[in-house]
Amino acid sequence: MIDFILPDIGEGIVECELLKWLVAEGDSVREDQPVAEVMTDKATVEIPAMHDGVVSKLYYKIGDIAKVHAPLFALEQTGGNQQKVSEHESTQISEKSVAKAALSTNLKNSQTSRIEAFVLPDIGEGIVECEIMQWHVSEGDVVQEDQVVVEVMTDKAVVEIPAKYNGKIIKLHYKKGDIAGVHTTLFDQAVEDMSDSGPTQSAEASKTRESLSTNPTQNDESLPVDAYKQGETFTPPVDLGRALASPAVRRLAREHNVLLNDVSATGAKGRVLKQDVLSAIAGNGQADKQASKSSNNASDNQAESPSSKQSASMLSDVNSHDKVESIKGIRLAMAKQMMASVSTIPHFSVSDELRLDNLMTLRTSLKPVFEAESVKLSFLPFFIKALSMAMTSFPIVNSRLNDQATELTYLHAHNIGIAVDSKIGLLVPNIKNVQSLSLFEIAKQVNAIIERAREGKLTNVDLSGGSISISNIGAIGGITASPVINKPEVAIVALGKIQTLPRFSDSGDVIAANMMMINWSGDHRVIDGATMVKFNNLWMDYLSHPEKMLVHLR
Amino acid sequence: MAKMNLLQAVNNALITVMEKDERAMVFGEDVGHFGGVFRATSNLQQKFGKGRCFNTPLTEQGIIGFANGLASQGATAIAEIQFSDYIFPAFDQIINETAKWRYRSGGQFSCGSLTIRTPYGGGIAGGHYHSQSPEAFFAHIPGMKVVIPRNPKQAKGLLIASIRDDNPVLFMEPKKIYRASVGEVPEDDYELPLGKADVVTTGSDITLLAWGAQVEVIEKAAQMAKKDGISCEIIDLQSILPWDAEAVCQSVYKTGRLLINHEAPLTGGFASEIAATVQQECFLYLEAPIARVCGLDTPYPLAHEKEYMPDHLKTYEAIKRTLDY
Amino acid sequence: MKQKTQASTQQPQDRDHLLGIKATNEVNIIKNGLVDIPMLQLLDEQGKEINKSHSPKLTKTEALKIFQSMTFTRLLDDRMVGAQRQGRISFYLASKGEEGSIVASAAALESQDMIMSQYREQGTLVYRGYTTDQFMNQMFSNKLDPNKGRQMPIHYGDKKLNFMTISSPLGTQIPQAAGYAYGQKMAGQPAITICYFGEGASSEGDFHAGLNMAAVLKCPVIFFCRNNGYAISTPVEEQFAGDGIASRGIGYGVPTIRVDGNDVLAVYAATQEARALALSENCPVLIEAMTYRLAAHSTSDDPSGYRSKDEEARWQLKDPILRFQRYLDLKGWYDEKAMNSYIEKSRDAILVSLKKAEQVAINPLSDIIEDVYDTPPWHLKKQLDELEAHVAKYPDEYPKTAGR
Repeated sequence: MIDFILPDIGEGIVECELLKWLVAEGDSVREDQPVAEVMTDKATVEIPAMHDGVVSKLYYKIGDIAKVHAPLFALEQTGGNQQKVSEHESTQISEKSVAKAALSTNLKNSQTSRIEAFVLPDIGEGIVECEIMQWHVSEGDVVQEDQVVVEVMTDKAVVEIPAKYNGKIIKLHYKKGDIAGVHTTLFDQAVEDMSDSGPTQSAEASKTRESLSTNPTQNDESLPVDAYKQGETFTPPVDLGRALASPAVRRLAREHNVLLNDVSATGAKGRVLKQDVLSAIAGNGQADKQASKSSNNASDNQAESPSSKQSASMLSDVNSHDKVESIKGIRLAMAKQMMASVSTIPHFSVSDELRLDNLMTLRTSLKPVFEAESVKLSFLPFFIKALSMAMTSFPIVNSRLNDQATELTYLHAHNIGIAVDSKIGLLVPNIKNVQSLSLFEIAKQVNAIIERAREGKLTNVDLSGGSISISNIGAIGGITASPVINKPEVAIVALGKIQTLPRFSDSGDVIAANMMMINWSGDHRVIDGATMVKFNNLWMDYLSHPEKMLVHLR
Repeated sequence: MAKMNLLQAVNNALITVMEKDERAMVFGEDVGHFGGVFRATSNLQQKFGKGRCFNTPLTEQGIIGFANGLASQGATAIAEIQFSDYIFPAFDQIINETAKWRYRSGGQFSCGSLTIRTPYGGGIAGGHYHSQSPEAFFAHIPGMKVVIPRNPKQAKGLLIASIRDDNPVLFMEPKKIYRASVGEVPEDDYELPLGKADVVTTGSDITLLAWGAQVEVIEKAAQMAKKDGISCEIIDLQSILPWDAEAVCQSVYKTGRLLINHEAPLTGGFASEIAATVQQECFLYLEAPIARVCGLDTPYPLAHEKEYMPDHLKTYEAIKRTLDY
Repeated sequence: MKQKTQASTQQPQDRDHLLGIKATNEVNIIKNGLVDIPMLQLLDEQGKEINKSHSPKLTKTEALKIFQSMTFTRLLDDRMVGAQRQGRISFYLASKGEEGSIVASAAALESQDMIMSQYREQGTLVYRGYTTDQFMNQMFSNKLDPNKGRQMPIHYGDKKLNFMTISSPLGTQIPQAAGYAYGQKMAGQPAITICYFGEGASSEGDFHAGLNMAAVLKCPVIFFCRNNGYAISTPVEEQFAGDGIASRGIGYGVPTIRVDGNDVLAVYAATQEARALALSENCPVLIEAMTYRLAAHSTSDDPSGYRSKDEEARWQLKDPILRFQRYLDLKGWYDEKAMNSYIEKSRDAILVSLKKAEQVAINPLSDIIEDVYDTPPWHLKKQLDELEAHVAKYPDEYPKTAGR
């Protein structure tokens, strides 16, 4: 009888979990037949039998922790292969196979350093390019992972791009003010101590299992150590500014007068492929890249800052000739967004006036409570929460219509957007899941969003996924407005300014009432007039009698 | 520092070594009292005695066979082969014995303390048998090292390092510039690393690579190219075996172009090995094919020596062709 | 004798290279055989000492050690030729018939003397105490072989026993021995080098270069030529026209002696004398041992193709082991029973050792790049990585090294 000793698989592994027995006591097994599955720190490994025989004893139950150097199972040898195998020998043989299996999971193809090109990713929702606002590093700087490298301005926001790895910045591919295309390299970084892309643990483990089960012990080819790297003995430096291409590709580029440095490289090892050159040849005839999708969350068209600036500069133009200004970035996106919204959504309006006195009283009394937590309390949190409550009763206001108007999606989350004057223009970030937030939480988020907007730190997440938008244009001025819906939302409300106006009380007296005009625009494909009015009524009811919110507050 | 020519630097290196190492012995044809036909070993016998610096009979196979035995006994054996053209009788001893001594004995014995010095190369109206550059033959022997200096300072440092390296080294001295190459040489004991190339000049448009007397030649060609606005990076390979592929490749990554110059005939010359390795490692970085400017595939001629040699003009033309590719 | 003057450091030498050459007035072209070089014999074929006063002083222990070594060598040779025929090793070279030359000369040396041999001198290793296991490990090229499995069988080398590793090219060791001896001299060691080679190898250029250099440079080296009558199939009359190898020694200014190679006492005495001379005068000595290669050249050779059985039979009668046995017997030192027992035990031990060595694995693959240089350079490391990866991919095809 021979005990199979669980070998020392290495790397300090002292035990493993018995996952599965593939045989039972009394079973006949052949040499190399898998007998058990064990799980180490690193992988699940199959243990094969070393001899033909009959399994006489399994020393563990499923789920037990098996100790290294202790017997795992016992085998009565049978058949012609009967050899007196010493314990040492058996340990050696099984060690070999298990070690090999474990080896495949520990595979490290490490290179000491390589060039990592940071390619501008698809920042979201159809953005194809962005403007380089500010480099926060210079070539030669050593940066840490997560350190901000550059600020870029997309259609929607100024986005900070942090480094993915530690390493030295080798080359900045754009200057400040350049427009960088998505999928092009922004900068090159020398990255240290990165493992080459090896298979994931689970993939390795299953590979090991596979190879062990088909052909265990010496015959398993699960050692994926492939040190044969043609042309990779040395590590080229990163700061070359030279394109990599095979001679054949270079010939092609030359024949077509394409500068390889200008071509996006998509090939292995960062090389320019023939296809890349062909694409560059074809692309040279195209116009500027266009936005393909239209789901940008641009603000409504109340951005006075750019226009005022524009008129100011025109006024100060002494030479009085026409001035051409290119529209790009956010302004361009906004222009496109407006076009898309107005041209595809049949807008209709509903207006009403809201009496704010009760709300003002409530706000005044709650202000100290909020201030005690250092949170400023404006009216917006109330408007937002009340909107969410009203949306619960009118889910159609929180929906999406597909382009063919054949499908309506009711959204679950109440992501309520507020138009804010950001560093780069008017944007509409939204607060997520208002349905689950308290007034306090909403107030905090409102303040935070405004702060972020001011600093130009609004994220893509902030700006997308909105249910409905509020434009508090009245904070600046105006009574009524016809807001443009923030496609793909189906409604938007513009708030007029608060006016103290004479109104009649219930008893017929003239009182000074704090009034605000409410102006809705709705997608007439989805919302009819009656629904809009009823929805608005409910909302305004919550706001004019805020205590009513308590009834349905969740 | 002292001003020395290449010969004096070699002599200085030998004296430096022999002063410190009692077991260092220099021998070969005419190296004793006469000081060698090029005077490389002058004064050694006077300084260190006939036991340590002596003439041998005229037999290269005997010299190297003797040297193998002496080195394996533990002495620092420095053998001279009077002209590298005559090294061939010793080929068997070098290839089958010297180079394999350590490997075949599992490391029990070795000829690590053997250095073979030999003048090589043309440009002295030497014809077939006083001009050859046989480095390619020896580059093909695993177990040997082959070292070639370009000037006095490199010669002294490399020779001392070669003698002290615990591997048999063939030290090939470019006889054309024995006297012509003069420079400041440190007078103290110093070594330069074996197996490492020396980037003599940095540049960006093309890498020029040579060794021994040909380094001056490519430098001259680089001067001509500079007038055309071509920036040449110049590398002295220094060690033929093992050779510093990394340094060459790092240069080619940068420049994308390589030109190799050697006197030895083109076919099977050492430039072939360099070109093959560089194209493997730098395939995607090459802007043009690798140029080899070498001697013709003929025995080394006398009357046509000037035309045979891979001179600065041929090199310059090749630079231009490479840049214009 | 030509006078060799010391070199002065100041003035150029004033030499006369005609010194010592007499003039003659007769046109006399000197033909072969000018110098008579007889063969030393101290033991006749019946084992009787011929000239006791010149016999070496051998103690019983020493004599028995010589005899046992010769016997063991023959047993080992027999076993290994058989093993080669069984396909267990690829190649073997037996020394049958030459044990006397080989062992007796080794016996006359000191342990610090370096042995540089050709390939048929395993008897010297036996004498010096190389174990059976050591022999077997080298022959099976396993990981216990000090050569790390790099060479064919019989290419022994042992630093401790001062036995230089054998290389296949013939005669290369001759100038090497001169160099080694020169080094010993310069280091002030009371040691010499002995260099073995056959009469065939003596035709190689290295012989001439080596003897000449040893003589000129005054190297304390014994050049021991086993003139065994054949170089593979080439008999001596097709190898040289002169008077054996001994005449050459004289030509090179090397003190020379010719001996009956199958006479243990003669070989021993000559070697002993040669050693003393080499050490005291720092000169080489050439010993030509006249013997016969009873064995085939190697296991790749069949002598029946080029020599008669009668010739071999004649030489069987001069078997050195037999002759020495008779000598021991006459001295009362020969114990037949003990000897037979020794033979039996040795045979068994050899077989056991063979079987053991057969089982030992070869060196791991990583050894392939070791010892090319003192440390592996970058390009060898790279090649090893690639090779290991390749072997790992096809472990069945490379079973001896896969997974190790």
